[in-house]
Amino acid sequence: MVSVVARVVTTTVLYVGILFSISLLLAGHNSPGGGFIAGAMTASAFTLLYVVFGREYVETRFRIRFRSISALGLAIAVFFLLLPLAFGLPLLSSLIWTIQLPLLGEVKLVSAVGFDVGIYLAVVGAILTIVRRSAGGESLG
Amino acid sequence: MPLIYLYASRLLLRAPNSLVDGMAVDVGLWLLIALSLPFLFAILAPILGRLGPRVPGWVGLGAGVASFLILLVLWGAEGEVRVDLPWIPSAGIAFALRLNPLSLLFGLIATGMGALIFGYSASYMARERVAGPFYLYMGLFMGAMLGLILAGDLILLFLFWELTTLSSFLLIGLEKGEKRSTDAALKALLLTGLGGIALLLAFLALASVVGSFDLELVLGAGDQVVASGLYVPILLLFVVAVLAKSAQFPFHIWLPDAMVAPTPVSAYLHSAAMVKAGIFLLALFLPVLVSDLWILVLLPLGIGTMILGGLQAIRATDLKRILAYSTISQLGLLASSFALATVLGQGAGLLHTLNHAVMKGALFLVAGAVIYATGMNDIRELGGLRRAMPLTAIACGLAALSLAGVPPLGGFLSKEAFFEATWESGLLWAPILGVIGGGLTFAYAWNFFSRLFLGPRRGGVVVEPKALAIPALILGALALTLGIFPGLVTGLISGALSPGEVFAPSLLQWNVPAAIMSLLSAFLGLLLIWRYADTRALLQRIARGLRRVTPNRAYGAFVGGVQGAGQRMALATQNGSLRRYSLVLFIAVGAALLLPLIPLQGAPLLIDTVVTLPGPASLRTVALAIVLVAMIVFAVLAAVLRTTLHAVLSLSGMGFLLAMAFMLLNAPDLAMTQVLVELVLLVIFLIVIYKLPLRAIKPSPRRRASDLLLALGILIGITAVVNPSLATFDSSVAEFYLGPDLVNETGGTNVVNVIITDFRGFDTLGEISVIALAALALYTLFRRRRRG
Amino acid sequence: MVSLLVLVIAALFAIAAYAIRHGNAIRMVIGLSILANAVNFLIISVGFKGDVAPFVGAAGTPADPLVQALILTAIVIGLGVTAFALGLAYVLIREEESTEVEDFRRLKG
Repeated sequence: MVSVVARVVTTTVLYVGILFSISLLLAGHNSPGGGFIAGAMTASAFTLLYVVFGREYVETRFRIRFRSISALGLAIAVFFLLLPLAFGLPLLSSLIWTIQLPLLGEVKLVSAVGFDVGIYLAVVGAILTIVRRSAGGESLG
Repeated sequence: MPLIYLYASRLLLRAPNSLVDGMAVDVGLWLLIALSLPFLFAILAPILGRLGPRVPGWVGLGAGVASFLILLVLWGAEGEVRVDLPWIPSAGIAFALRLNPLSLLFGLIATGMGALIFGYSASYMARERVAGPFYLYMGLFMGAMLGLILAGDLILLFLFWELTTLSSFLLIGLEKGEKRSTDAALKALLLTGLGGIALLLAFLALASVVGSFDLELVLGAGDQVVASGLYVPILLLFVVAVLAKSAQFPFHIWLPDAMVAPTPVSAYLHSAAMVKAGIFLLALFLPVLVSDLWILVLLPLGIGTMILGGLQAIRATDLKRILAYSTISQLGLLASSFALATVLGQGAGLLHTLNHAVMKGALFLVAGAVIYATGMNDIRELGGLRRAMPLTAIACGLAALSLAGVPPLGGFLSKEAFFEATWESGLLWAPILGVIGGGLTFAYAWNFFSRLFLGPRRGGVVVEPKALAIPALILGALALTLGIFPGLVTGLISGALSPGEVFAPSLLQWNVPAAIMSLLSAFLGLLLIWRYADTRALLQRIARGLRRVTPNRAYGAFVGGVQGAGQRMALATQNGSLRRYSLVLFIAVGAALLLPLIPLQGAPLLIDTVVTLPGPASLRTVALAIVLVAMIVFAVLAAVLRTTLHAVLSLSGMGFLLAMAFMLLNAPDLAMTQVLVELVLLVIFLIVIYKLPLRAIKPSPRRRASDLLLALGILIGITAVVNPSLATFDSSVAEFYLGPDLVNETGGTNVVNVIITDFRGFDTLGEISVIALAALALYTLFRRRRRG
Repeated sequence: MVSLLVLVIAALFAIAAYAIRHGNAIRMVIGLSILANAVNFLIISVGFKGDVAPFVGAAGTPADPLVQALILTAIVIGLGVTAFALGLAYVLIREEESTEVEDFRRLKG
């Protein structure tokens, strides 16, 4: 029996948390944030969901294989690690592109942000696999 | 192997020519292709197996024939071919291949026999369950053997050498569930692996004397090597490697056991090709290592093995074991030929290597066909198969007579040359023992043929497997051809000898001492054939008498000893008491931390240094002090509270206070992460303790005092270690990251994040892998539990 | 403030050791977690100088960014390791029907 207040608050927290973590992720290079923090943020938001709604509810609403997300994160991280090789640079060199976008003006794209996305997904996937397994989630993991 | 394809593609593209210094690009490419084909086949074999049970065998035949023809045509068109590709230039190691008369001879044996065996396997392995891995490993072996033969660099040679050991191990152990099979595989791996280590050491010592891994430089530095102080160790290590690989006493014991592998494996690896690797090495390094010591060490071992193997072959009754002991004996003959270190000896050795590959390959294929057709492998239970298996009988007759050394077959010529070489050596015992070895060979070779195919019929009704008889017949015919037309190969063999030397034996040129020795050995052989059963019984009695002193016994004692010692050590150190483990760990870590402090004269210790917080005692400092004290309180509560729930909540409290401390120490990123992680950890803890039946933690008063003492010791120890390091910490590393160029180079201003994603990116990758693995481990842990 | 940081670090290590030495499986995991925190705190103390967070262009003396980067990853890994240890403890407690590690028969060969 989940109270309406808890339900509304938690749902809000989840979406706000995920939005906030994405902003942390993308801003991480220049202000507090980054893949690890953003990952922990998203994971804790989901964990809250487990606490408030219980396992069955979360697993019917979010049929996600978290360990696959973790693997995807690792793959993305490796990809961005190797990417500079394609440009004839040493591993892990920062690739910086400056592009002009309408309305937004000049935007700097840094390949390290891609690496950060990999970290983010790996951390989210791993923590949520752990949480779901501890909670005894059956079909997914 | 990807390396080869990388280089091959660059060669095809005619990219930087400097890669192939000073040689025609296309020629080297062909050599690379010849080497790559077996590996390519190995990779494709599992897929080919899906197309049909016989397909991989036929494709393997094609790959072997193609490699064989490429080598042959390349030699005919270009003569000597070299490939020099940089591989690890910083260590002076090159991917160098050499095609010369010696490598061509062995290369043709390896690819030609390989092709034939693959053709045989197409039928032989069609009904086997293990056919998939069989073709993979066989292809791997063929490539490795060819690489070992063609290698022009010591390290490259060693790598291929080990790869042949590995593929032999995998092939012997194909039947993974069977103890006999796995034991034999382990024995082969341990013994040939020992040889591999000896070879590596010998090569490293050689390279240190010569100053290069380049085979040609090493081969040209004979005087330098023999004169150096390292010569004796190099020679002894080298001899161990050769003895182990080519199954010579006292390392021969792995070969008979290796017969548990399917017959094609025995025919190819354990008679024609892999065991010849040691012989190849003898032929290759003879010019560098030869001296009086060479003869002194190798000749007695070689001839001794020849006789020992012959006796064992007479004693044995299992078809394949007879052939295995015969192989050991013949390898002894080969080793002795090279031990003599004369032109005649080398020529005899090279010719006999080829002859032996042909005739012993044929005999193995015959044995395989007989076992396939009858399902029996004891020679005493078989007989009179000539009508049922006529083609096999012809092949067996030719091969056995060649092995016995009867003219006009190939084996006769090489055996005559060997006898002549022993006579020439001037040692009295060498020809005498040689004649005895020849007599034993004559006896068991004839017995093998006559017992199986002549005389009264024994064993059930059989149908001759034609597809198995034909490859054997081809080899039998080849044995005859080599006897009548030795000129086909003697030109090549002469090319492999010292420049200007010629080796040209012929049926028409008889050497008197050798002819007399041949007659004597034939006479001895006939004598043994006359009383064969009695001889076998006598040998079996002797073997029983000696069973306590065999090399097998020593091997068993060694392996048993190692296993026993390992078990005792495991029982002593891993007794299952976690408390004991943790005590050992704490004491060991404590000692490791404290030891370096002792010799530091006048180093700042405990009270000497005063570490102060930055800036004046501000509000922040006071806040930090309060937070830290509170953190300690929570930590103590987590360690002592009796109720699990309370302890866990205290732990969480400690974590949140640590986050506050991070905040006050100017680490906002850390504080945020700590809070979030602590939240998740709390939830996990709560879930677990909710699901556990026991909620309270029992006190353990007995241990309290000693644990408290240990904790106190750690308190003092850590203080002593940390205090001076905090005071003297040099932060110049940190300043590097705070330099002005950081933004330009990395495009970020959050230094912590830039370090994680950029400077320490590799570490970060490792770290996220760790957490992903922890998650996966937990996932499996719980999944296993549900199933079990 | 005589070596307050040092004393806190040493105390955390000692408490962690005491908890790990306790024969209760859950308490051991708690001890491991305290130990992880102690190490993190040790590392941050090494680079505690400075009075602002480490950003390029920040006003004042920035704190050591390297130690912070080290700890940031260590915190998340600590979670993974602690959770795994907890999972192991859980499975063992269930199967052995005891929380005391000395009773775990499966560990004894």
